[in-house]
Amino acid sequence: MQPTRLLILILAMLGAAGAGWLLASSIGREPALEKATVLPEPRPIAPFELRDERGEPFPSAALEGDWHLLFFGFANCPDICPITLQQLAEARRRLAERAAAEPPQILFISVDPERDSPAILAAYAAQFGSGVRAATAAPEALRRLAGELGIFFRVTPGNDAYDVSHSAAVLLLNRRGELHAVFGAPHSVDAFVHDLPIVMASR
Amino acid sequence: MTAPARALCLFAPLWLAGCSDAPGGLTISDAYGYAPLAPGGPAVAYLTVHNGSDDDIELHTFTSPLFGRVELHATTLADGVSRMRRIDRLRVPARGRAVLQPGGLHLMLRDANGDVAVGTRCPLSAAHGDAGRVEFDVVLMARGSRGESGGRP
Repeated sequence: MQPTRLLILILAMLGAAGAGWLLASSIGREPALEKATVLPEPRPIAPFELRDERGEPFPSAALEGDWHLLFFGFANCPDICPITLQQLAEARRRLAERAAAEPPQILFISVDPERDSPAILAAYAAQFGSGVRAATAAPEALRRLAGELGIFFRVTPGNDAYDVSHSAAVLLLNRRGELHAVFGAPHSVDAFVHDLPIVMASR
Repeated sequence: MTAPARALCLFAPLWLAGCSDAPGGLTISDAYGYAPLAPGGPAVAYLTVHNGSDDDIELHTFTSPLFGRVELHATTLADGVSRMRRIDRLRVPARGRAVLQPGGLHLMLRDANGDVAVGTRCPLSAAHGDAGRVEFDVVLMARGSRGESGGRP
């Protein structure tokens, strides 16, 4: 083969290889996420049972069928818990306005069952509008669930005004009730509104 | 209002002039609060304290006639875990300011003495070093009243 033709052939092969690489790398590429970390595979959660704002059992099976955003806290938390729930409620409201898909439900799980009675949880959740529910469980059940979800909490003993430290992460559960993604604190309404449609559409 | 504060108001007309100005160059701005979210729950107040003097100032011993306990706390976020740490004294640097805002420093208002529903005007007071007290008030609002996250725009 003449050198020129050989050169042309080599360049053509390189070009084809390059185009193939570009095509392969662009397949499955999604828009970048602002704050969400999506698990490589959704993680099933062992069945659990909470007690809801009416004092009724709230089994984990009740989470199936909808996407849920979970946040762990306690009703006597004056700052970070209400702020986060307000952010989640606002994000949910904005997503609902888009009407592209049903926005996730929000579930506030109290890690302070000692003080957070059903009546307290009902009043608390009601402050944040529709789509927000609250629940708690016995300490051992909370430990198990929190452990599975990678959530830390600790009740600091003291007088009646004891404090609770807790993870500030927001967890996204998919329609099968599996852990799907995690949002690390500090949270932002814009990041929730940006990331959630992408994450929820990808599977 | 505590008895000493009442006495100071009686003998120091400057304190009567307004709730946000006090001797020593202290000014309070952007003071607001949120009502309790559930019966018996805490209310919260945020504010900015400006120190126009050449000396650092410390505010402490916060009180309110509407709450049995007013405590200064700092929300901390470390390794993804949120904690509250009680702080006894709020240092306001000379020619500077201290900001209490959501996610950071805040006044936790506990043990309500009466009606603290949304719309209640809540008087607050802090000891100003050794120089008396500074008085201000906040309106207890519903969450969401200040924009999407409840924080500063």
